[in-house]
Amino acid sequence: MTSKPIIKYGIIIIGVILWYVVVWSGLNDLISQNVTEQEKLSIKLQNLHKEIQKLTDADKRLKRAEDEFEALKARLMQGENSQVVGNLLQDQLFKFCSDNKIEVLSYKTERPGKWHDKETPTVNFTLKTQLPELLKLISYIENRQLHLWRIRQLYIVSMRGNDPHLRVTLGVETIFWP
Amino acid sequence: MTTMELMGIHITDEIHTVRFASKFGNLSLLNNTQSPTLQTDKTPRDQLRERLSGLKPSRMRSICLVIPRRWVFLREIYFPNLSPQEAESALRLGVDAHSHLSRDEIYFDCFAREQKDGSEAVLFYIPRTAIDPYIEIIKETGHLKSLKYILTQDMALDTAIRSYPATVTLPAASVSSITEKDRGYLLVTLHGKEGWEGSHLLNMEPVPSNERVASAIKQLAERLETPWRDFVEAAELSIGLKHDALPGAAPILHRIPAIKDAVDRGLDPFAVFGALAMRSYVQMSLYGKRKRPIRLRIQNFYLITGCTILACLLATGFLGISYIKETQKLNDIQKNITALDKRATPLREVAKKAENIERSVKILCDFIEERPTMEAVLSELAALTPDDSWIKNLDISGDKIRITAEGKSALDTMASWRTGKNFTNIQQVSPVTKDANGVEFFTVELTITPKKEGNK
Repeated sequence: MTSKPIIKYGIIIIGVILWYVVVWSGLNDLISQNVTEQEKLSIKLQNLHKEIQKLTDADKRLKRAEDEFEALKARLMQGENSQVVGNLLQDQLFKFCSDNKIEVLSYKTERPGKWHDKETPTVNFTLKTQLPELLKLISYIENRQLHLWRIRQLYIVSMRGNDPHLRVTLGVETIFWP
Repeated sequence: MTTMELMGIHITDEIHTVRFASKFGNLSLLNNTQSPTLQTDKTPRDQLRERLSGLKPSRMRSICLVIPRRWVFLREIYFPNLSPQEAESALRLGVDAHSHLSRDEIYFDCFAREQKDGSEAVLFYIPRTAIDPYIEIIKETGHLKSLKYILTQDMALDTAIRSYPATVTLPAASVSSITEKDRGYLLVTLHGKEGWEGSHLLNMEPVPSNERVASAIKQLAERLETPWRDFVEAAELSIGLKHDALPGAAPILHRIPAIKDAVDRGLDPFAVFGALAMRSYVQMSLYGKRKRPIRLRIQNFYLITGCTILACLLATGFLGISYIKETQKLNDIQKNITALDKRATPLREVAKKAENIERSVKILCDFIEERPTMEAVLSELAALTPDDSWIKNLDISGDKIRITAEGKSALDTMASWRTGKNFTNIQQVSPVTKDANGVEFFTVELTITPKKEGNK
């Protein structure tokens, strides 16, 4: 039997609409997603190029840092632990005082402190000395070319009388780098 | 491309043949196409045998047999609620019911055209006994394979003029005069826009005269409906009521050079129509398979459906190609990123290592450079302390300095210390006392400026 044209052409129109919705729109969406993704990835690519350009001198940078670090580390006191390092610090100071006629009244290795998660072995000295010797001692302690020490505490009392002198309480610390 | 030969054979009380050579659609009359001298002593069958025997059978030859319209029986049957295709199929199945002879005794063909609320099917048939002797002769002479169609005169005319759509404007009507031995008749054919619309045989026995032709056409025109009435009247005017000028649809054929040329040479017009009919779609043939041109086989609905599907496929194809290209681009970028990432990974590790070491270096540097050296602090303090002042006690702990001193003026001493670049936030931490000599005793707290801040 003859089908009604409206039904036949209706089916075509429905088919075209379905094609548009399913295929055309779907493909268009996929292409749009692709283009967006391309834009994102292009930016990522550019950034990667820039990063690689920056990183090209990473080897040189590493070498420079290692050299610098080695130079600094050479000035650190080496020991098994912070306690040992503290004792070594104490010995060296004690020796300097002896060599420079600084009278050590008392000394003590303190409990290590903290500096950026690193232990800082600390020693305390009580000294009887004159100003030039004290300055010599301070100069020795703060000689960065020799060692990485710093004065944590300095207490000076000027004593007058028959025997004018300085009574000094000195706290010195270094850093323990295993 | 090889040359095809189109041969039209018109059977009446004598045999007329016309042969055209067709190459690339161009027609040319072959030399032996002149009608022979009328051989009244021979039967048409003998004439046909004689004519065909003189031709060498060829696969490149196509023969169309044109038979008199009066030999053919015609039935018109209306099929309500059926499409033309369905009506034609129904008629083919029930041909026994519509012919006075059985299916085995006839050659038949039919076609259908759309009518209001249904279709009208037209059945042509002819007793086999009328045609078989001629077919037998064609077979005997070896030309059976070349026989393509058997058409009636009106159908041959209609089909021939349809092969010249640019020359003939349809619908139209044609009037042909056909004279046989002892009788004559007029064949009025109605050429519709879509196909043959019918034909009318007007008996003119014994031979047509001007008065009888005029009267017969006038009577026919009165019976026809518009627009056919107008066309037939126009045909009547165009032939000028002179039956000698009616060698077969004269007004129409004179507009077609190939036909006019052939007829001017004295060739039989219906044989010419038969030859030319093979160039177009034959609407009805009593022999052979009619090949419907693709353009006629395609219905509008199928055409629209096909075009729509093609358009959708093309659009999808283009979009698909675009998608593939975009995906390829994306893949290329991703490949580049992967390659660069691979190249960057060891560099990143080196950079990270360098960064860690630099951090360690910074920690060590900060450890010793956090504050100014004690030497610098003491030197500055000594330099800034006025000559009349004396530091008795000095306590440095972290970034704080507590000084106990004596001198002429505590305020002057503190003011002097304030000028030091390594000291900030200088304040008294005890009241200033004064002895009998005017010497002031005071305790002051100073803050050591962090090295970086001090360097600013």
